[in-house]
Amino acid sequence: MPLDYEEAGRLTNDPVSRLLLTGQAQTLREAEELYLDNCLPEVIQLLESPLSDEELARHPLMVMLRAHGSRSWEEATE
Amino acid sequence: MNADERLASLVQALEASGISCLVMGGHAVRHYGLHRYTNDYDLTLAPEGWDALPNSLAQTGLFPVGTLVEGNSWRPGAFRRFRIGTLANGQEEWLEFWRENHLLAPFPELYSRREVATYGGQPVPFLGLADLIGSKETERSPDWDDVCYLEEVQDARFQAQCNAGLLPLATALSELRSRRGFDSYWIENRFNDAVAVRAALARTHNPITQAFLLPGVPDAALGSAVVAIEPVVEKRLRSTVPASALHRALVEVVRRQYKVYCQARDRADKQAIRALQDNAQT
Repeated sequence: MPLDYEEAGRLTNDPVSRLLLTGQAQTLREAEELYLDNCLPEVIQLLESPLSDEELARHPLMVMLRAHGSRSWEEATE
Repeated sequence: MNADERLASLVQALEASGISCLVMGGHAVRHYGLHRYTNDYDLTLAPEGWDALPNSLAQTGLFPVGTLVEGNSWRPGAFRRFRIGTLANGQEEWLEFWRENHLLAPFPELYSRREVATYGGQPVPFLGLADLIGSKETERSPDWDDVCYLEEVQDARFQAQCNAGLLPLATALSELRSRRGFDSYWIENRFNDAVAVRAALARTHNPITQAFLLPGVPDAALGSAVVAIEPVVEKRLRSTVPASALHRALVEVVRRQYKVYCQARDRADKQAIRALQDNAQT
């Protein structure tokens, strides 16, 4: 039975998983990169929320941004 | 002859025939310390050598008759490519020349900032580090991996010059782009010099550098930037603790914004070229 990407995308609310399930990304890294490249509206929403600096820093999106920062790729090239 | 020696011989032969060129692309990245496997040789060329390029290459004597074949270019007048052979694994080797593109300064400027180093056993001129970083700000994701590494090298160089007393701290900080560079200055308590941080902030036009520096001098005015930091992000940068987890996350937000902007700019440039070609054909 052929895979219904649209149907698969409805199985989760996680934006990264959805990118994988809908075939928009082939790997987890690609999916996270794609998600982060388009995350600015979500970041702005978070910054406008009443969350404290500490709570913001612990938010999964902020954690992912730090993990994909200017160093994380090194492991992949060595 | 290995690839490095072959490239060095080619550059030497072109220069001997009066054509100035600079090595860019993967071989330049290798020169600055990151191992990159590449089948291609990328050079930027002085405009006056452009028209005579096929003859000049033939006269180098490096390519047996029939092995040098000019390929199609998606950007005639600015980009030329020549197939120079086939490797043992069957992959083709290409020699590629840029005369100009939107990521490169005019050749005389690039040449004045070149870095000459021994490569393949001979002196070879490379694109300067800042120019190489600029040339890598394309729509291609692998180029951004190179940018990340090259920024660290550039930060380390500026910091070394600063520590040796050869460069003012404000100048070095005004070029800060990498997280590793930020951490190195942080460990040395360099951000305690608020006057230098403020001067660096006034000097830079890069939003990533602005994001690194702003929490240290939260009342400072931001100068114009290639792409302006989102007001909500800027406001939070002015109140967050320097080097905190949130500060580091916000820097990465700005880095994303900058990368997405550069990718869109590069894509638009390519689309404009293709549209011109389509119009010319109809």
